[in-house]
Amino acid sequence: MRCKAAQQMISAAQDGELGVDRRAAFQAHLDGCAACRAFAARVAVAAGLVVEWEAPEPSWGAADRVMNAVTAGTGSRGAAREWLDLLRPAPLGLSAAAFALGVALTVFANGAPASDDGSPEAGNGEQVAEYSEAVSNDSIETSLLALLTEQEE
Amino acid sequence: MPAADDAELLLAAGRGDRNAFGVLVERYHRTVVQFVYRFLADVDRDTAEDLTQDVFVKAWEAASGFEPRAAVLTWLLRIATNTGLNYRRWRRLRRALSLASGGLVSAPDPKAGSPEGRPARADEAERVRSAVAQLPPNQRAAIVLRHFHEMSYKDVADVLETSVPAVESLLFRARRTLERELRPVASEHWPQVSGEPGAE
Repeated sequence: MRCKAAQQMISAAQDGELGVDRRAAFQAHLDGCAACRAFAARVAVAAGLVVEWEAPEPSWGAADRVMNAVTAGTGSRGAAREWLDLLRPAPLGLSAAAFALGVALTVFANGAPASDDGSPEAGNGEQVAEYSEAVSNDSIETSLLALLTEQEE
Repeated sequence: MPAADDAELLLAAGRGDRNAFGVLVERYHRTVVQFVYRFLADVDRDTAEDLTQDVFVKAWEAASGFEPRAAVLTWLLRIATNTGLNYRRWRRLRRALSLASGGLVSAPDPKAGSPEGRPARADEAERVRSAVAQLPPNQRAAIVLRHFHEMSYKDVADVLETSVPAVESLLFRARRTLERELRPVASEHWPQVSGEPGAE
């Protein structure tokens, strides 16, 4: 077994997800390869650090609010409509809005405003409310999200 | 009296039993909040809770179509994953529209990654959060499901609607990236083993 193949098995080995045959081959390689042993040790240390990342406990009453929303038949949608306004311009501004939308999709496709850059993201309940309202409307917003999903896939 | 089975509760919810659904909310609300918080990796607790609310509303609406082949938690986390991905896409679109119309991009939320979600060793935790946040969404989901929800590769595959070998690959690539990104933090924990990974 080559180092590359052995290294690709490290995760599964550490998770106990290698079958008997693959485990034996993996172990045989590791026994004779100091570099892969060192790499495996470092991967294990990094994995150990990840589990120290704590998540907050839910706030008091959050589960009750979920049931209230279920009873009301609503998600977290609220009154905020800022982003819908961007998509629903006044009639006279349609061409400008279409241009803005085209630019936005181009920018989006190029990844410039991507939020997955690891930086903390602005996040609050109002923003989720806007999101919920947007996706709950079976209109242009839904179509845009579908389009973006296709682009990503 | 033994606790009701998850699948029985969800099937009852599918027939309109809100009390049965309420038991599931009590049982899994915390798990879903913490999954969403870590999966998105850059939101505060309020946002994670709001998205979790959406997850459960969707689950309630879809309960009548639940098939007991899948575990209820797996089913819920699949909805949570899709909700998180859609929220992420929407957020990017919103930024793009905001830029295109000359608006301002939202400033980073000072609450994001605040002490409520940090361990005592805050710098180290922030590096971990940042490293996880930079992973592609499917790798991040696999890491969170495996590390924090202790799911088997089969269960992770069910949540992500992919295969077990694909999960193995996702986790390998994610951990290889994390090993590289966390070297400055991890080096003090390394055992005394010499050698660099080979490339034979």
